[in-house]
Amino acid sequence: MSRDTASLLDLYLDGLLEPAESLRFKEQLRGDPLLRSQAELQRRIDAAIVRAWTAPAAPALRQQDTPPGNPHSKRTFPRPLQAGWLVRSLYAAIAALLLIGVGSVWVWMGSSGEADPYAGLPWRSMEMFYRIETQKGFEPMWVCDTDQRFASTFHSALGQAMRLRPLPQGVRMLGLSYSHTLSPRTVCMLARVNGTPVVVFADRLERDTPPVLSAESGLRAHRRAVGALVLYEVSPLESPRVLDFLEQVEMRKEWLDK
Amino acid sequence: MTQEDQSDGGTAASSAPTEFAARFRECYRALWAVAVAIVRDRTTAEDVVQDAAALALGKLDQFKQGTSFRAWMTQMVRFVALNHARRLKKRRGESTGLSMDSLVSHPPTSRQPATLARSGDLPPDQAWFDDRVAAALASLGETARSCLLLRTLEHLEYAEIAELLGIPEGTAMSHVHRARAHLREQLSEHALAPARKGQGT
Repeated sequence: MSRDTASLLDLYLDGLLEPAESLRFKEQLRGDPLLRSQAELQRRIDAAIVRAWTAPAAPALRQQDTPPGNPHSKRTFPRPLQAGWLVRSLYAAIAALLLIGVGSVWVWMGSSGEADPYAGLPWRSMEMFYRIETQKGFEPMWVCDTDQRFASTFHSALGQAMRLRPLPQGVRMLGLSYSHTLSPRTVCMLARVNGTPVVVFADRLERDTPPVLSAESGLRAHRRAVGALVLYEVSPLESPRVLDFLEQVEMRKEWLDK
Repeated sequence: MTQEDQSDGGTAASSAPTEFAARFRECYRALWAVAVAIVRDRTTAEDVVQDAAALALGKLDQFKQGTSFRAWMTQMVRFVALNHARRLKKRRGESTGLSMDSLVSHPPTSRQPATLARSGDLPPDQAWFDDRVAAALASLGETARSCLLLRTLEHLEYAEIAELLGIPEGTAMSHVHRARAHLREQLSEHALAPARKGQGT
């Protein structure tokens, strides 16, 4: 691929080409398998970067990091200190810590008093998640006992409320689990279809990365985009059995407390 | 100038610690991306951002109203991260968690992925690919890596990246494009291998 084409590819991926140029480049993409493979490779690289290096949630400032007495005791910029400034800074630091501490406790501890379920989760592919969960007994971490709770859980985790329509006989939704898969905050639905474990992974569409499943696993992945979310149903079954019962609903304010 | 930058003026974090906390949370992800681009380790990056926040808290009176809080904090993060990287260079060796360093020191040379040792699980092909990406990232320069991560993870405009890192906009774009080309070159051999399994509907 020539340097000019590579540069055009980057501008195209950045969305910085003029509309006419963009159309021309799309045509070029269609007719050039090598260029198309490079575009696809770049998307895979970007997805890998997002998977591995997405920032964690903003934490509270740690107490030991506040300036102890002299805030510059360990690290200094070449600027003289003033006594009044020092006292003000110290009070400010203590006040900030208190506020941030209270705020972060409020954010991180849900109404149930549980800690962030995503904290410290290792990355797992869909295949790994499926295998590990089935070995562990396929028990969800969280059961939504009402439609409102189901909707609000999705809304708070992924920014879009979801509804599960009544399932046919033989299909049973067990509950939700959490995983670092498509992103560090993927929501997983655990279901059984006539006894067969089925996992539906849900995440934001912009974090979508097609799964790679090994032939030995015998697993299949079925994909749906629902609003701003992407859903993957993973199981040994040949067709999706849960995906089509999931739909987007409008979030209602009164559900937030459910 | 971005919406965030414009709102930095006036009541920004120059003197109010609560304002500082809110601003810090808003830009935490970008700060972390800059930190991890320099120290190349997730856990260390979190420590660096924490240290930088403590440093910035002690220097609130130096923040100039009307300027970008995020850019100011980024300079703090870079200062702390570069210091940390220099110290680490002296006593090289250990690293914890997911680290680009460990991968560039021992780049995966076969289809045996680096994650195997970490998790004990048999990872799919994707894990191997991810490790190769991390190794290729580690071979980039610090500024190029920062530009690329800010663009890819935070979807920042080139003008925003330029402001955060104190470089011209064209340079930021050039860093990103060259970094992408480098990564594609490094990964193309694997990516073109016809080893894709699995399917979707």
